[in-house]
Amino acid sequence: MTARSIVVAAVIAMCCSLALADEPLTMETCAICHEDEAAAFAASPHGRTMAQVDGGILDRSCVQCHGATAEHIDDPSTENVRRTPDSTACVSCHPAGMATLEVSNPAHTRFGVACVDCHAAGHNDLGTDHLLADQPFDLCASCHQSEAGEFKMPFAHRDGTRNFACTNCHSMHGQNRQGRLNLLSPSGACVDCHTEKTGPFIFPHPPRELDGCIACHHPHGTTNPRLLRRRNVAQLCIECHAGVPAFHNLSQTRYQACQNCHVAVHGSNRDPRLLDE
Amino acid sequence: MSLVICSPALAQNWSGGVGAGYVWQDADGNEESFLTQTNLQSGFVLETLDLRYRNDSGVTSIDFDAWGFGDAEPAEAARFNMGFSGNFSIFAEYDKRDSFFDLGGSDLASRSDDWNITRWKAGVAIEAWRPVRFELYYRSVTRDGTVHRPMYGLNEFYPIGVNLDDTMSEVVFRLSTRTLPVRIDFEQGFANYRQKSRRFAAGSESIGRPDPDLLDTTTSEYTDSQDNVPTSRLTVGYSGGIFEGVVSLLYRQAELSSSGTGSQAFLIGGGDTGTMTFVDTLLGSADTEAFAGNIALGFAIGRRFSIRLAGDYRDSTSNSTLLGERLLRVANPAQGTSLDYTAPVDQDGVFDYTDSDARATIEYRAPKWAVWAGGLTTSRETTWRRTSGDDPTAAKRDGDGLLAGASFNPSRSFGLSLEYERGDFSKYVFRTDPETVDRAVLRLRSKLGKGWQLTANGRYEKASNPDDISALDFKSTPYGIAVSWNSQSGTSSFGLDLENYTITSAVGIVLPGGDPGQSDYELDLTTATLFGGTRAGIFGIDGSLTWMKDDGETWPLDAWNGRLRLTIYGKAGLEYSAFAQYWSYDEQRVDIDDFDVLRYGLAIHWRFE
Repeated sequence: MTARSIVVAAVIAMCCSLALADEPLTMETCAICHEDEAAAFAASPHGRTMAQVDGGILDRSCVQCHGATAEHIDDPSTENVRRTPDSTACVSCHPAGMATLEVSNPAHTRFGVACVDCHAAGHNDLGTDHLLADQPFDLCASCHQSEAGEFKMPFAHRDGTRNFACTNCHSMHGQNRQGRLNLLSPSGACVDCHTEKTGPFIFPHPPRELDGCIACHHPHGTTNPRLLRRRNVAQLCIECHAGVPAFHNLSQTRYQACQNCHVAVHGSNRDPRLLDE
Repeated sequence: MSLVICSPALAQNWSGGVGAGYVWQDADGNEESFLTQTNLQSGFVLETLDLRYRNDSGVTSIDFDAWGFGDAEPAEAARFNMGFSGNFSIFAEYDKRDSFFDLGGSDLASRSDDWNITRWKAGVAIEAWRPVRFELYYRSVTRDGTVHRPMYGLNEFYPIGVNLDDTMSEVVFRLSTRTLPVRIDFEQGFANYRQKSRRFAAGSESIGRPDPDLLDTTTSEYTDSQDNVPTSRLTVGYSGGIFEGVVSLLYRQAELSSSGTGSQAFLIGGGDTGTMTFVDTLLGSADTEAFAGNIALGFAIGRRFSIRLAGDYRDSTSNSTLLGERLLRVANPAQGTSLDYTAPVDQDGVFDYTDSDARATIEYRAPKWAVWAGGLTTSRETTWRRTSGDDPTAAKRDGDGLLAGASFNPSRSFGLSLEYERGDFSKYVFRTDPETVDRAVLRLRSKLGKGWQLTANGRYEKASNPDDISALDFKSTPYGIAVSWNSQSGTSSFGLDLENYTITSAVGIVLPGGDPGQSDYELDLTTATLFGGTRAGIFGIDGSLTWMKDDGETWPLDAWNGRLRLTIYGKAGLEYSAFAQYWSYDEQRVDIDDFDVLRYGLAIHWRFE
């Protein structure tokens, strides 16, 4: 730092101390030293939303998130500010997010996962939903590796070369919103896309009704076709169906895939033995 | 003194980018098998398109995003949002996913699929009154395409196709509070469902085994519909100093109406002997009324203790009927004779269930660690009768359990968590229901400094039931470790992810005819992924390589896939990329579905501010 810079900084600090002794710190004050950061934040979606709600919120945002005080002006150190805001800063404006997070999804808070582990502070326009710092799959995969690994399996829920977004099916903050009927059934998230399997059916398949699609399918991925829990279809079915008539000779190929005849495995509107859709 | 003034004022501006490419694909082996797994093909692809418009007044924001359009990728999506001065916005979303299935070595080999699911959603969100947000939108989901499958008839399988025509449309009104201490989210939707089955003969010869009888025609003109299905959802959440709570309720009533005719006609002895025709004329209904709710409450006791209570409830009642006639017509056109045999259809069924469970947890949380323990109880009551002649099946199942866990978070750089849960159940709805379940989850994450990060996780699950039920013996142990490094500038990173996923399952079964047997399934999958990327000057490179090996007894296989992308960063926001992707899949038992696929291509991206 040159002598000239030191003099300028000292003058600014002195002026600020005099001017702001009785006033709360605002973004204008912070912008004296952090001009680029303040300008970027004000122009970002986060800053613009604050300004639309109340200009005062934007003015106080630096202090609200980073906890800067007059002490920081006297001593511009990283020790007397929060470089990375903690969750309490977020909750001061977004209480509902924390309410559902704490109660419905305590695993995240117990593990020390903070808001900014997933959400960017908003100094830049990342163009993501909910200011997410990365793609939903990558954010979740950083902790949930085994689940992410299931999407690499040969038969998996994929969007081509893109990763399937975990938020398509899972609610992070416990609102139970993902999936139109997920409160009603374990299949709720599935029938958001696979609407033809919503039911009701005249002849339902009981495991689907009670335990949902996951009774037979691995939703993330598996080494078995159709995301099934068993490689062989007959093996999957016969684990539950103990009273199969003797003519089903499992050594014959035709009987090894039950759905060749029992085509309506998700439920039938025509046949009680699920022989017709 | 004049200080720098930071204003939220923003000039009107557009920013965005577009990236598109062309992909060539070379496949060795079974390309249909590759398409079944990935559905990637040669052709053009829109990798990304995003447009942003920002202004201070009037139309304050426009966001448009799209990706995946073109032949190369099986999924595409677009999204549009236009905001007006923070008072209201209009939005539209679209996505489409193509599904393909055609395997040679699977017991599903006789079936092939080629269909897509298309979803639309469009509406308006009103935020003029700050405390409440109103949303009104329309959404639709359609499934369109064709399934080819076998149809059983005259003791043989015959090839048929089914043209799919499934639609769902829904109008939804949603109200959510934003600034009140009590958060309320109410949603009311009305949906219509239509499913039309269009069956056709895809050949006349029986599949696999020569048979003199031929399939002449098969048709299905059934329509299954549900009109104005109401779904009501209400979520209420509150967060105070010592109390938090969320209550969610859902009510739904659906009335299915089904009607139509299905027929199959066979040429006996190739038509020389005569014809045999089956005609079903059916009229059915299924009415369901369902209610579900859950509640989650949290109480803080002092600075360290907290109690959490949670409960879920589901209740559903369904009644169904099927009326009509099944006709068998045997005819000999040469002799001019025709005989009809009819059987009436008059069936009704019920399917009712009630599920409930509750969980209580007490937790002690110190600044750097926490411990918790709790108990849970669950019950299920269900009754069903498929048809009028069946005896009702009634089953009740109860369970209780306990859980305990601990976490250690000395800093934001380190977290360790371990939780164990056990459940004991009595009575069985399905013979594969477990009597006991033990589950443990371990997670570790650590920022080691200088950009290094280490994470590890492991899960253990064991379930069993007695020999007189099905002698269930299930164990699952996925675990893994990952290490990664990110440069301070964010321009370079690499990492290694090692995972193992083991499942062993043994279930005592009853073979057709009554003999006892055992169903064994074993997965022992090891996956290693190496990934990284860096940028030096105008050059950038990133890629990944994944190796996968299943040593399980059921269906061992080896698989590889990798991708490499080289990018040159030009002037004026332009980027030029060349990329290659490789897939290899090798099943140990048979070769018919193995493949090696190389994809390569060029792409150009342009960004503007």
